[in-house]
Amino acid sequence: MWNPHATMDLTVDEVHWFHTVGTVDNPGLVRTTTRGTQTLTVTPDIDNHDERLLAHITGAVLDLTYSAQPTIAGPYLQRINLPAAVASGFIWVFPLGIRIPAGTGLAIATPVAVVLQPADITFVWHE
Amino acid sequence: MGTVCRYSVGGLSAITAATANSPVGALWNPHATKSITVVDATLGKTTGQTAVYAGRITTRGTPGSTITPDIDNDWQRLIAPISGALLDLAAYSVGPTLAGPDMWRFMASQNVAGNVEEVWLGDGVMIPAGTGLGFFITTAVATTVELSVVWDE
Repeated sequence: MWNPHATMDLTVDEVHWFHTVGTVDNPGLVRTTTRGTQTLTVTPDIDNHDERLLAHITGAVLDLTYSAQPTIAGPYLQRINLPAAVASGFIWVFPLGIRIPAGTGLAIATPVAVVLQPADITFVWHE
Repeated sequence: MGTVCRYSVGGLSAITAATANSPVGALWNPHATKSITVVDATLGKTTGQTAVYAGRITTRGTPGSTITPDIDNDWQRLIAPISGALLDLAAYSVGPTLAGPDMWRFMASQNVAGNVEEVWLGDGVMIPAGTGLGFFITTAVATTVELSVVWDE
């Protein structure tokens, strides 16, 4: 999740990660300070607002694959290990929310030398 | 009640000794006076068919590795943790000192590598200055885990 806005922060409330292949991996959550070069991006619009009133002002985007990686900042916020089963997954819930300052992001990355597997990914945020 | 900053940090332990009650990791509060409050812990088993339990520790021991959280571990990204709390990880050359009975067990992670279990602790478990919350294997099975801890201070 990348927040491209010049001044406005957003706050991530949940992150969902569910395997679409049956291979182990070690997904972790970590802040990013550059976006990298994404090769697939989902651009949310008014339909992603839970009351369908307004497209989000930050312009936040969901980047999914990369030709150049984002820059990771600091130790990982959360880490898990998932088994070799399709549909294995996890939902991180952040009751106070994780603030993503303008011009930064929150990535799911692999902190170890294990390939991060294809997955269905969902971010829930407010701004 | 004053403003609370919430932090989290995660790390992968190296394999423990195949000895019951070996530590896989701990959140250690090194501050001289300031307490912290652990509100959540998540355990992902990578190897080892044994349950893991959590309990208070009164000495840090000598961990195999340590992750030092910084401002990026603050959920609001406002300030690095004042307590200086650290995530210590196996393999320990000297184990921490466990104080009292274990507080809870990660049972869902007992038998299948890759299982993940998260425990929310409601109002939280206060960790006084100079103490910690340790995580230990129950039986003599060498184990590695992905361990994440969330705390307030």
